[in-house]
Amino acid sequence: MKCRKVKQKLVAYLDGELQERQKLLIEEHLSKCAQCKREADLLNKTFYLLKNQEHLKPSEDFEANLWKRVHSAEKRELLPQNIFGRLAHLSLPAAVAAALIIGVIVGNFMEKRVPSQNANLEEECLTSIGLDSFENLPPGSLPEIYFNLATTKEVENG
Amino acid sequence: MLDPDAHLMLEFKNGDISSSEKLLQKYKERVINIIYQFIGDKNKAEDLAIEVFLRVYRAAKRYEAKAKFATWLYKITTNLCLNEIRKKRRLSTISLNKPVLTEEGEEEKLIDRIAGPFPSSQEILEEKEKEALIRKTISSLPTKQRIAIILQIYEELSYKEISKILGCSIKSVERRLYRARTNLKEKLSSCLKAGKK
Repeated sequence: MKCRKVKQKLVAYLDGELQERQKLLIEEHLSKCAQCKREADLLNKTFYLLKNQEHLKPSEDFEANLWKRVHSAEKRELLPQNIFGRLAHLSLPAAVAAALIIGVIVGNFMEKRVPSQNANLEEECLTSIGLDSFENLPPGSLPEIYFNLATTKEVENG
Repeated sequence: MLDPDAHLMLEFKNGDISSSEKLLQKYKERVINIIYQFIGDKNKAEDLAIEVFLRVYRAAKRYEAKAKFATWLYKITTNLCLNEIRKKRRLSTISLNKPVLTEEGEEEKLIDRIAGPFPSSQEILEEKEKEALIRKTISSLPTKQRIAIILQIYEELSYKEISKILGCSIKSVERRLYRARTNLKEKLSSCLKAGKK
């Protein structure tokens, strides 16, 4: 194994992350190569230098502060503006759904309303074109001639 | 077999507050220290750790024991750390050429302090200064390398666990850790010569 390849694998070797075969190859190389051995020692020291860094202890009021935040978050969530705020992202789909529902309702209403209007119109038409409408036939018109003929025949037959 | 901590979390999900207390006691110090190592600010570390547990509590209703509890918790922690770093980057950019004051009150460029050459061994003996230097060196690592090495060194997680937390391959974790450790070794070379294992 070449030094370059060994150096690339040294950190994983030191962390115990190599497979047995690779581990043996590295160990064999380190036993022969002083430069790589020195590199391995320095990398190992780096680990412990970092590991021995100052360790923070949680403050005594860590839990108290946490619960304070939990409770204030719960209160915030219960505020009406936040409830609506959480629903804000639903506004567009809700508007589309509302428009569709209104459309369907209005459509149904109109469908029922239009035939009744049609019925009225029909009645109005029939009334307007009733026989009474022919009472005053325009003088000299074909209907007047036909009407006079019919009337004369009725009188003759009469 | 179900991870015991995941089991505690499921109990908490079902209303057992004492289970959440157990998890809090076990993990609060770890979470604070991961954040501290990552952002290097003691006060902010505790504040963000509270935010991590707040998120855990809020997510409890939706929690499903798909992975180890620690993996899930550290994922929340690292995401919060990364958000914090992004926020900081947006707010201000610290110039490495910006002069900083040494203990003696003299001006020194931050980049010189981070990258070396390191001060004499007498100064290295000042433990606080050495720690500050190590912290700054960790902070100088690229974010991906930094988070990987913090999880590996301070939490002693395996490459596989780190890959799950960071959402990358094991190979990628190996590469990040190799680069991080090599970078740190070079930047902290004087400390390494002076220090013992």
